[in-house]
Amino acid sequence: MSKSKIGTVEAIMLILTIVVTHTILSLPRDLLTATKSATILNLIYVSIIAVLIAYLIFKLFKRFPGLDIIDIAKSVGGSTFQKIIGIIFIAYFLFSSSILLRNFCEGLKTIYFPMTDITFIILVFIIALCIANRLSFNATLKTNLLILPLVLFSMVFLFFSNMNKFVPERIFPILGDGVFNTFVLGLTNIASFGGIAYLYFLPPLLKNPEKFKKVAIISIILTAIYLILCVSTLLFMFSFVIDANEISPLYNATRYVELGTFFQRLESAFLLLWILAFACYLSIVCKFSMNIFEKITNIENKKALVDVFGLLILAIALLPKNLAVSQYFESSVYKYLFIGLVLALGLGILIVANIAERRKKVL
Amino acid sequence: MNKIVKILFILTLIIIFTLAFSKSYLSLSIDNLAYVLAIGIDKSDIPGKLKVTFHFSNTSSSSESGSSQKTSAFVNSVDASSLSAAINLMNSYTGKQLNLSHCKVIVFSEELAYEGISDEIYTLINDTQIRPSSNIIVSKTNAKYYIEKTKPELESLLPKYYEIFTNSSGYTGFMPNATIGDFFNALNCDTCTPIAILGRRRI
Repeated sequence: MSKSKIGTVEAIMLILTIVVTHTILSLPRDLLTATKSATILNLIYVSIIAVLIAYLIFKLFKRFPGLDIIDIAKSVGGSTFQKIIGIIFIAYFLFSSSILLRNFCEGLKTIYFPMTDITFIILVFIIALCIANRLSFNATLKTNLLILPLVLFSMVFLFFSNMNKFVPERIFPILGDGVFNTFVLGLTNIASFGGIAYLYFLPPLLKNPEKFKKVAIISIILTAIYLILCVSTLLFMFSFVIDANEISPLYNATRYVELGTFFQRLESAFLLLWILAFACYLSIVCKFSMNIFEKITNIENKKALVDVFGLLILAIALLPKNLAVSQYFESSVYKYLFIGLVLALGLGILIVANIAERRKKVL
Repeated sequence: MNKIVKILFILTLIIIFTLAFSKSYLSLSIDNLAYVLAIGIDKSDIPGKLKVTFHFSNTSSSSESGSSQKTSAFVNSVDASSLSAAINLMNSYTGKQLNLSHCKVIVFSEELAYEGISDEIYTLINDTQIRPSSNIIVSKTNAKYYIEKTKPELESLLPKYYEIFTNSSGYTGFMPNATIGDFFNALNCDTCTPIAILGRRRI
């Protein structure tokens, strides 16, 4: 991984991929459930905070050029602390991706493969992940660079093709369940910016590390625009979202797209794009996890880890008894994991490291 | 040796996945499915039950006969406690699995509509096979009778008739293009009223 550096656009797309995979599952529904008709307003508010966090991360990393959070953790608390932080982040990446994979595969099973065991559907993704990770990281990045714009375009297409079904009045009451719910309780919606977690590991991987600020800010702004687009589509189209179609609210929206009598049932095309985006996401997660593992163990041959991480993702994905359990993890547990680990722990380490660095200079 | 092991491994994987996915492929094969064109839901003579009528398309005869002849279709009904139970019951009667992905019309009898149809609407909208663009009709007569009497004279293909029969909503004001998606949306909206097409058949 150290040999294959990430370009600026590739890095932005990488961050976006994380959010895209969340939105094709239950994220928009969770946002709408939390803040109702005020979701767009809440997202604008949360986006501003997310941009500020991204800027703060950039500022905190400024003192540590070419280092990621694992290296910084070592300078803060020594080798043991570095290992603990590494394991926590690996667990977070593997856990969140596995649960997402399980939910996505459950959706595919319901729609297209009703008689196939879920293990085999998940295995297809695991095999894709293993093959992709045996190649250089550039292969994943370039594939991602090809697929993600298509996915983003498909969302814009979804928005405009469903426009005739929009009821703009659904944005009212503009403050949803009230100011407190929108701006205080709604703060947990910051978890939708899952890409922030990957910013901690980007600096040493960037081709142009001086463009880290650009990558961080632009990726968060694009994420915000993308999220607002997705949520607007659902908010303006449906008055429910919460009650219907447990598979994915965006999939539900794609079923309404009809271009004349010839182009109907376009949801298959959307699903194909989402499958490809999901494979890219899994590959990225696995690469980052392997990179962290390499740092905390000083392992020489990283390729041997591919199958281990692949099997770990498979095992965690098969842990939930059913879709209800995995959806509970995705909707409820993930949010708090993100706030606790990515925001509190990640920023905490960076702040402590900066204070320690400043003290060193003063002394 | 290493290459042989690799090839054997790949071949084994292909065989395993072919076997795993063939079940789904076979279950969704056109030969194993009975396509429902319309569903009619009435109150049953048995208290607390629904009479659910399915209008099937005979896919084998339509493929043999060509487009110039009329497609054969048949109607069958079951009494069940819910729509899902009715679908399961019909699945056990017919040799083929019911597929609702081409169901274009859902007919409710006026008598049932008066008592409330939200449970049935929820069941239908959460079924991945039912299209949100399927039309919803509330019939003055019972739904079974409405479906049985659907015999288009200007259109030879019944599925096409169901597909286009709401087209007149574009140029007349007599019939709305009321879909189940819109109906469900309105049902869950505090400020909207769900609407359906009013259906009549001469007795």
